[in-house]
Amino acid sequence: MDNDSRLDEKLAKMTDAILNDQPFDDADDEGYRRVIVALQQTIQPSQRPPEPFETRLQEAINTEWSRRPRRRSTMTPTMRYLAVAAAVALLVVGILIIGLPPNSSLPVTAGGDSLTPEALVILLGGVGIAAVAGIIYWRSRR
Amino acid sequence: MFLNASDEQLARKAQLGERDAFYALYNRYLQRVYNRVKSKVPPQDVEDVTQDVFLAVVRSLDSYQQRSRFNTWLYTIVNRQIADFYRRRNRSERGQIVELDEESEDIPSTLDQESADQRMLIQRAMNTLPEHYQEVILMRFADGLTFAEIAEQRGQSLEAVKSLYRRAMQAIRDQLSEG
Repeated sequence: MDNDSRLDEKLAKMTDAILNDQPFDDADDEGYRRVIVALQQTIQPSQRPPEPFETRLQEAINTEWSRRPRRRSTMTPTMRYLAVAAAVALLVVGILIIGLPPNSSLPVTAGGDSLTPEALVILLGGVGIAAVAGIIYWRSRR
Repeated sequence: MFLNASDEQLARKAQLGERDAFYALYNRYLQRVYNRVKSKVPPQDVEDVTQDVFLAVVRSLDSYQQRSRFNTWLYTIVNRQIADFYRRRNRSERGQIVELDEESEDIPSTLDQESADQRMLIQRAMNTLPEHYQEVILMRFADGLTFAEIAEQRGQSLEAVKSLYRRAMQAIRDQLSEG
């Protein structure tokens, strides 16, 4: 362990001791001890603001809060990206299916029945919309 | 009610208009914000600047994006409000500051002075430090985080944080001895 690492450790221990009101005697580091004590006295981490100030502050916050405009969209950027990605995917699938030969059909049901491309587009559209709505609902409940 | 919610989840709910979620964040951070402000501005202005911080948070809440940690965003607002405070004060009370600074030239480098003098010296020293030095000192003293917690928040190793802290303390000690 080099000198800097030793000093890193010693300073950290000294700080922990002083902040926890425990003794830490090291005459070599009086300069650091004074700085730590001065910082502690200046910043005083456990101090809570005075109560009258808190009351005033909360009143000011409430006033400011009531001025906030209602948010137009409840979607986060991530949700918007998801919605756009889903919409693009649906569009691509739709274009591909519409581009199939007019008399072709796709066997998609368990019984081997076929769907026309138009019906498949409507079906996929519905599934896509339901998926996007589900994602939005799920995100909003978190 | 919001005990288990992360800061980011609370911020999201507050963005959607839940005032209780905002107040849960307020209760988590009031003391830290107050202490951070107290470490950098004169005592008589601490309450005003703290209030400015929280009003700025309400006003700009919608601009917070979940990509960054909530407290990183919040402390940026704290720093901005403190900088604004000094800009305003420099504009309106330039004469008074010069007087104060001249007076402080007579103060010796020891820390055994009246608490007001000490506070002023510490604040001046803190304000001259690079941001990352200030940040590690504030996380330990104002936020009351352990070095391990600081390391976790900053995404650094414990050794790196202790090393950063030592360099910050050296810098502040040098500033105070120059004072």
